[in-house]
Amino acid sequence: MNWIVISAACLALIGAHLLRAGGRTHFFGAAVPFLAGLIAAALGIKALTSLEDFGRTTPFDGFVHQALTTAKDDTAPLIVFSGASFSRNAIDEIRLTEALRARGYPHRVISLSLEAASLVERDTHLARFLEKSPRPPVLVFWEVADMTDQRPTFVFGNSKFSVRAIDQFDARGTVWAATGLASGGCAGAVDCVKESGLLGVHALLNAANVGLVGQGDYTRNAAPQYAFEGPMKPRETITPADRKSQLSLIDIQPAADGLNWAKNFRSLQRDRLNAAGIPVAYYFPPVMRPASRAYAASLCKGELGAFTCIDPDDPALLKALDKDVWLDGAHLLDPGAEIYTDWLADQIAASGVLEASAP
Amino acid sequence: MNFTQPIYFLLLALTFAAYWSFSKRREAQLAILNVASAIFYGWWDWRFLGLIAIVIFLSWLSALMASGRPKGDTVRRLWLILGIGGNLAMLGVFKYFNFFADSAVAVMQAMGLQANPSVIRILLPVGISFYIFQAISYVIDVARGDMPVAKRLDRVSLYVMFFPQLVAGPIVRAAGFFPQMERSPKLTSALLSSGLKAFLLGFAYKAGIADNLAPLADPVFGDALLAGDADLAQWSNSALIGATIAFAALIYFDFAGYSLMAIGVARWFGFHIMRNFDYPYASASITDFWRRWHISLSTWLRDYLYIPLGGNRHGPASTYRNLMITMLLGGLWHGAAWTFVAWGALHGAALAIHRALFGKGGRAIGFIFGLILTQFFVLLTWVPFRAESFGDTLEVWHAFTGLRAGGEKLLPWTVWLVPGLLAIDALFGKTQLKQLSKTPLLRSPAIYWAALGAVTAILLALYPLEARPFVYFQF
Repeated sequence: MNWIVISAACLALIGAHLLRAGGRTHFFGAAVPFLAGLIAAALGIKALTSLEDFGRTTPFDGFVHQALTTAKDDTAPLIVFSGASFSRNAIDEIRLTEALRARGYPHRVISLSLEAASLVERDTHLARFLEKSPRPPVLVFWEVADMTDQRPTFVFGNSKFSVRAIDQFDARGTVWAATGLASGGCAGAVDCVKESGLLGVHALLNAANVGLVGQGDYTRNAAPQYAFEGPMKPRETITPADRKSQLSLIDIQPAADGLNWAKNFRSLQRDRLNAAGIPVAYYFPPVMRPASRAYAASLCKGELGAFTCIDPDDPALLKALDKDVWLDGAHLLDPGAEIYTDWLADQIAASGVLEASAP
Repeated sequence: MNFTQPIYFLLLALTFAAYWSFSKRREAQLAILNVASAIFYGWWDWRFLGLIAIVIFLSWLSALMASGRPKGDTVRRLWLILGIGGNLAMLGVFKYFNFFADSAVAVMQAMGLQANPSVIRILLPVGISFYIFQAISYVIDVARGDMPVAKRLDRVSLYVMFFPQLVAGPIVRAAGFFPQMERSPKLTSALLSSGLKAFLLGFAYKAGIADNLAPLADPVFGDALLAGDADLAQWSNSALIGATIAFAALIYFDFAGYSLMAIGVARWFGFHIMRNFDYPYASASITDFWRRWHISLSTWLRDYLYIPLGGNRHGPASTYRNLMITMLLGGLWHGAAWTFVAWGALHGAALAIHRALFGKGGRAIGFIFGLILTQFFVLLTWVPFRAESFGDTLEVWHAFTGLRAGGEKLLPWTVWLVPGLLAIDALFGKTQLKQLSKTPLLRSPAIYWAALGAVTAILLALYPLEARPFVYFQF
C-alpha cells in the first residue's frame, strides 16, 4: 500500500460518508453532473498516476526494469527484441549477446517479449522503454506472427478483464484494435461482435481507470526480470513422427502483405522509430505449424522485403530442431532456444543489419 | 459469487428489474427473490443447494409441527429438538467434523495411543454458520410465540436464503423479517437513495480499503485464503505489529463493508436489515465494543444462548460463567480451530472482568484511557484470530513487547497511516462531522451528483480486479 492508494482510500471514505443526503432532482439533473464528476475525476486520476509513473503492473514492467538496469550497467549498443510467447521462449538474450560478441558485434540484446502480447501492447511497452532508456537502441527487432496479425484482440484468447487485458486498451490501443477488427481481424460475424463487445468493455474499464490504483504500483517497484524463461520440460506430448512431418514441410508461399491494419501499424511504427533514429528489422521464431512459418516467410518477401526480415523456414534450422526441444507445438524448450539463438546470431551477422545500424 | 464481482452486479440488476416489474404481485416478487437466491448460492457449488434445502425444510417442518401444541407437550418438545438439534448437528458435521476428528487424533497421539488422521475431509459450505443460526432463530421465535408459524415453505426458504445477506450476514431475526415479506414495498427515490448510501459506503469499505489492506497483512500472517504458510521469523517486530494493525482494520472494513452492501441491496428490494457495526473501534470499554461489533451475532448469542443460560439473573459467578460460555462458543462459531476458541475465551474473560470492576456497562476510567486500553486489548486478541497457530500468536505478542529478536523484513511505512483511516471513519460516522452531509452545498443536487461521480471514479480506480473473498465467507 503506497501513499496514492491510501490517499485515494481516504478520499473515497470521506466521500462515501458525506454523500448521504443529496437533494431531489430529475434524471438529467443527476446524470449530467454525475458523469461530469466521474469524467473529471477519472482524468485527474489518470494525470496524477502517469505523473507519478504509477500504473497497473504487468510482467512487462519487470522486463523494462531489467532492460533499464542492463542498459545502465552495460554501455554497449542496444538491440531490442519485441515479441509474444514465441520469442519469450526462443530468444535467450544473454546467450544471444554472447553469440553476437563471439561474432565480433559488441551489442547487448534486450528482450521485451511476453505471452499473448498483441502488437499494440508490445508497442506500448517498447515506447515506455524508449522513454526511460539512457540511450536509444541501435536496432529494434519486431516479431511478425500470423496469430497477432490476424487477431488484433489477441489477448482475449488468453485472458479477459485482467490487468493486462484492460491496460493495453487505452485510446490508442483501442483505435488500433478497432481498426484491425474492421479490416477483418476476426473470424465471422459472431466472433466479430464478441470481440468488438469485449474491446468496448475493456476500453471503458481502461478509461474509467478500473483497478489502476488498487492493483497499481510504481513501475520502478516491479521486480527486474529477464524475459527469457528457458523451460526444461514439455507441456504437451509431441510424437517424433508428427514433429518430423510438420518441420519437414516448408510451405512455399508467394510474397504477401499482412492484414491492412497490421501493415499500417508496422508502417507507422517504423516511421516513428526511424524518426527517432532507430531502424527496425523483423523476425519470427520457429514454430511447428508450417502455415505460421509460411506467413512470416511470405511477409519477409512481400511487405517487409525492403527490410531485414529473418523467417525460420530454413531447412537446416528446422532439421536441428527435429528433436525433443519443444515445449509444445509453438514454443521451444531451453535446448531449442539455444539452437535457435545461435542460428539467429548467424543470420543477424549474415544480414549485415548491425553494420547498417551502427551508432 | 463475490459482491464486488461483475457477475454479482449482473445478477443484482436482472433480479432488480424482474422484481420491480411485478410490483403489484407480491407472490411473484418473492418467487423471484427465491430463485435469485438459489442461483446466488448454487453459483459457489450446486451441491450446497441440497444442504440448504434440508435446513429450510427441517426448520419449516419442525416449527409447523411444534406450533399450536401446549408448552409441556412431549411431541412439541421432540419437534423442537429435531429442528434445533438437527440444524446444530448439520453445523457440527459440516463445520466441525474435521476439527474434532483432528483434535481427537492429536489427544490420542499425545497419550501414546495409535490413531490415524481422519481420511474423510468434509467440504465447508459457504455461509453455513450464518444461515443455520437464522434457521434456529426462526424455530425458537415460533416456539417462544414471538411470531406466528409460517405455513408456506417458500417464506422460510426466502428467510434462510435471502441472497443479499445469505453468506455472511447480518444474521437476520425471523420475527423482524417475516412481516416484511407480507408487505408490498413501493419503489421510491427514497428507497433507492437509502440503499445507495449504504451500498456506496460498504463498497468503499470493501473494495476501496479492505482489499488494499490485504497486501499488508497477508504476507506476514500467511495468506489464509490461499492456505499459505506464515514465516514470521523473517519479519521485524515493527512489521508484525503493523500487520496486526492492518488486519484489525482489514477485518472491520471487510466485514462492515459486506454488511453495509447487504443492507443496501436489501433496501433496494424493500427490506430492512439490522445494522451490524456501529464504529466498534471507537468503543471505550470491551462491553461497549461487543455492542458495536458484529451486532447481529452478539445479540443472537445474547438472546438465544446467554439469556437462556441464566444471563445475569443468578448472581456474579453465574453471570461470569455465562459470559465465558457464550464467548467460547462465539469464538468457536467463527472457525473450527482452537485459536478461535482462545480468542473467544480472552474476550469472555475481559467481559467478565469489566463487569466485575465496573458493573453493567459502566465506564469509570475516562473515555481516552478506556479507548486506548480497550483497543489495545482488541488489537492483541486479533492475533490468535488471524494467526495460524498458538506458536505464531505468541511470536507476534512477543514482538509487541519489543524483546523479540526480529527478522529484517519491514512493511511499507504507510501501514502506520492505517489507524488514521479508522479514525476518519469513526469521526465522520459518530461525531458532528456527519452533519456536514446536510450542509446546503452537499444538498445541492448538482454538487451532490458531481461529487458522487468523483467518488465513483476513485472507487473504480481502487477496485480490485482480482477480487478477494470476504474474510467472513470462510466462517
